[in-house]
Amino acid sequence: MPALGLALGLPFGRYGGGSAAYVPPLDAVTSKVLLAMSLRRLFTGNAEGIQVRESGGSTNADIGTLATGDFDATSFTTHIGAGNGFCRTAYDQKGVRYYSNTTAANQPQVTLNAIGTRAGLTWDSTDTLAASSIGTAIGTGDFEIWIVAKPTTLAGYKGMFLLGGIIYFYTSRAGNGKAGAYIQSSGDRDFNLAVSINTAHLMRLYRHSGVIYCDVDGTTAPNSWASTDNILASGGAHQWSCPGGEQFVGVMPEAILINGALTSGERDALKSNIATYYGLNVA
Amino acid sequence: MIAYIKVSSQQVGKDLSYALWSFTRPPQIRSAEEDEDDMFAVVQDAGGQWYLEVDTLLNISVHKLAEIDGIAGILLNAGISQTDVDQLEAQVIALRGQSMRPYDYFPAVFKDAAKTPEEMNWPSHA
Repeated sequence: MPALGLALGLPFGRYGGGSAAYVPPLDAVTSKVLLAMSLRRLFTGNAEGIQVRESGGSTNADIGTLATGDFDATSFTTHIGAGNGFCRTAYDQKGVRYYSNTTAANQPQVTLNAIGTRAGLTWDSTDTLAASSIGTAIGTGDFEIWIVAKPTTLAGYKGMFLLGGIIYFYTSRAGNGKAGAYIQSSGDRDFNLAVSINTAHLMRLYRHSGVIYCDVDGTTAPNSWASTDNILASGGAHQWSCPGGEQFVGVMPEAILINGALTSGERDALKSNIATYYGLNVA
Repeated sequence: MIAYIKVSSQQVGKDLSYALWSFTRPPQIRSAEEDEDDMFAVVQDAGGQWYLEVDTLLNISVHKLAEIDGIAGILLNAGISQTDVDQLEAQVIALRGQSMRPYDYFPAVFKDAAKTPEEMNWPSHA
């Protein structure tokens, strides 16, 4: 029965009815996933989560995910004791690379009930997690960045993700409450899509056939921008949140990078899964 | 709050950041994985000036083995007097086993020249 549900892209899991098993969202598209970071389980059998630094003695421990899909809150609270926990490393659940920050003041804080009852990372204006590589070149081909983000400010240039140092994805590029991007070959651009403060959104930036599109909560912007940018395996910064005073401010629990394009069925299934897990209002 | 404190070079900033983090994680207790860990980022503005990006509210525990050896030379090179460095050393030693807010112990000469985030002139990525 779960296999049928997955094939149809239906939202399964304990959040649907209370007793069904949790179905991770990326099992069906494993070969297309380039990067998968989250405080929940994204692949069956992969319990990797994050490395947490506790503020008391600043020791580090890996805190994973449970078969229920959720972040292991019990292990987390045991590790941090009376202090707070900060993400030193987010493990790519695809198993290829880590996104980390060894500078203590720039590590996002782990928050257990960040989006409803779901755990997330709370980012301030200096926090980023970075890797020097995405491992595989996207080149000038298609890609999709999927992010769950709950911004606490719509000030300009708050970047959710930086791809190869040449594509920045903003909650509100110009401070006008419209999602935006910096695309090296097209410049700073806004999409005509509203983003709300203190609301969790499903944010997606994607390039199909040399054109960058954006959608917020399942609604695609009416405008789009050309991109001939070559996304290399390395050679430019890849960051969750952005550098240079352009860091995202708010909560982000999940970031997924797809190399290529999902089919419409795969896209609907992933959208449904994310919306259901985080309780998002998605079209 | 964030304060951008001028440093003479990227290396000086990194050395200072590493030494500050050694208050809470002295080198002798760090694992190999932690060897590069530090406290604050070192960033550069559009004019090429380097800054330590200091979280003024960051609170850390001071390890019982904490020393100020790593920052004494930096402070002396920055024109801080030996007397002031000795005073800082006494303060850090007195705080072993307790907690501290590192920004509170920055010499006034650094704080007076600090910039706010709004005053920073970041390099453009365009």
